[in-house]
Amino acid sequence: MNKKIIVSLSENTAEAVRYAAYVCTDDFWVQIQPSGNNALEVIFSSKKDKNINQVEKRFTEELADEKIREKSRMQNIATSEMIIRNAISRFNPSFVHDEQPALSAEQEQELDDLIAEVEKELQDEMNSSRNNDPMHITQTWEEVNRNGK
Amino acid sequence: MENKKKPEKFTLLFQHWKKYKNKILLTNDFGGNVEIPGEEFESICSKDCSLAVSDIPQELLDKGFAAEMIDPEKHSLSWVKRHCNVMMAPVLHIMVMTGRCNMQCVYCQAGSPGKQDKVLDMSLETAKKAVDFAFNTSSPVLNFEFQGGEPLLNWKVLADTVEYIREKEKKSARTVSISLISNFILMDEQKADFLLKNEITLCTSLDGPEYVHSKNRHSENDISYGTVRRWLKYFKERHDNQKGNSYRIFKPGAIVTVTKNSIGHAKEIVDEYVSAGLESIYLRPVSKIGYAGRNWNTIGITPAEYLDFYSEALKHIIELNKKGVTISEQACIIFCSKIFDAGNGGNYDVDSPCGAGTGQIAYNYDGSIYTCDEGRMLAMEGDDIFRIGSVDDPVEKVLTADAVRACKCASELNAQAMCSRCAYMPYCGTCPVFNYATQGSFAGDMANNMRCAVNRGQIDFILELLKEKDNEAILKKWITGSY
Repeated sequence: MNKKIIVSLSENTAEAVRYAAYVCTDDFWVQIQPSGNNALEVIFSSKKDKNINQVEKRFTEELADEKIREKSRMQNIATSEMIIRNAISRFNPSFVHDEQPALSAEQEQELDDLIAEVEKELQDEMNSSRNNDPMHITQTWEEVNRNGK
Repeated sequence: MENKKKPEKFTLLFQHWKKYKNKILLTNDFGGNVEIPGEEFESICSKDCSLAVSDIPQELLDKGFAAEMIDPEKHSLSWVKRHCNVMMAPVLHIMVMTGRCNMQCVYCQAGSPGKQDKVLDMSLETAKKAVDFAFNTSSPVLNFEFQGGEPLLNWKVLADTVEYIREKEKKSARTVSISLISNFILMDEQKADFLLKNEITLCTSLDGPEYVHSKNRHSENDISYGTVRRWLKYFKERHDNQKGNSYRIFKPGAIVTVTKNSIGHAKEIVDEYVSAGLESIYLRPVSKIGYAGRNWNTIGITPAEYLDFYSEALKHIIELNKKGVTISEQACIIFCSKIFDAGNGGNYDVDSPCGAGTGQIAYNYDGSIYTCDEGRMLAMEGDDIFRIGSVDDPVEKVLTADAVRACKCASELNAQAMCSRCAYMPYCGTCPVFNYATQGSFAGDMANNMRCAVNRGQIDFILELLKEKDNEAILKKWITGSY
């Protein structure tokens, strides 16, 4: 069962009608469509077992509240926006950490390569000195035993 | 403000209001709320909201309802405090160390696939990339939260990641904190010691006395309840006896998920927390997402059932406080922080817009990044809609991903048809993941939304409580932490 309510657009804005109807969607399905030149037809149908006759009173009250909200919104909007603008202008959101890495990716790679080269040279030097030390005299006990020698 | 010359007339700012019991509750964006008689409201409206000085109640002036008395600096700062999550990069970095879990809770939102499949573990390489990603954001504060599944199932990687974070912290100027959410089943003294020495905050789930907890949280051999109580005692004792330590030990925490099994046991659940030595309880209703959604007939509750439970629990907590017991309730703290204009309560779910992708992000075990933990949980169910990138992507790309933008738009309450008209808008927030999972769209349908009904009911109850000065003093203590 449906309930149709005609709302004049000379007394109400379409926005106010939409908001007032939306509040009723917990218990009713709502369809809003043009009706003639300067009116809207709001059609309610019951979702559960809600009495469809209750909807007109509820919708009318919500619409009256909406008119007050529209009016107060018009009066408040400039102040609210001024406060938010002021708040946002205090911050400059930046997603990325400001500290720039000391080296670029290429420089980092170059450094890694250089370190690897030096490490290799040291290793080679150690190996050659070991070849000259068949009794492992220059190595510590731990080094000898760690290598399973 | 004191130096301002009072004008002869005031224009009232009251975009948010509601009628109830022949009265009108007015609220504003700065937390202020005033109740006035219905006739007075009608009189104000009939005068185009413009009143002579002699006609305006002092309370309206004091609480920021007169446009001419607005202090732009003070009110802008207030706005920033309550919307700080959109003003900076994510603070909360949730790391899902594994998708595996050794429990099967009736309300699991992620549908964890048991403890066997190790491909669901985060590798150390991925974990390090996630940590690097967090350090590459601009947030001066980083909170790493280890989660799962059950994160202790991937202990080696977790421990190595903690050490990696602490190393990076030494080289940075950030304030870093680490927390672990665990069911404690795999906890042992060695792990506990490592966690405490690394100043990790520990949190678990305790759903109430054993007869409630064990119905909700199923574990092999039913050991969950005893394990949780034992380790809470251990961590509390370590906290209480930390004098002389070179590191700080934080109090352990726990949260409650309220299901059908909890209904009728509100007082006993609160008493369980007191007997466990916990000083805070966080009550949350089960969400109809994931495994919990499929289990809804067995565990689901209506908003009305939850609100009855919540009001009974909160009344009991307040009574305990009046008797000198130290215990607070976290959901109440979140709303009261906004009511008392003390920020956003450190919560990203009840915020406008919500903190998805701005206040928090979640790194899944495979390196995928999600807007939030709830978005990641939905992915475990096979829906990747809240994925915003991976640990290999640049920070800018991830934090400005489509899903982040969509979450911001959908959860900005000024853009919500019902919320923008609601008296509780300054205190509330909506969750795009919950809306999407339960109602099919990020914005949801607030006239039929369970979380909206719960939030409205909770705020109704809290505002009612605040009418008594004794209660107000207790709730203010919770906000400031000055017990």
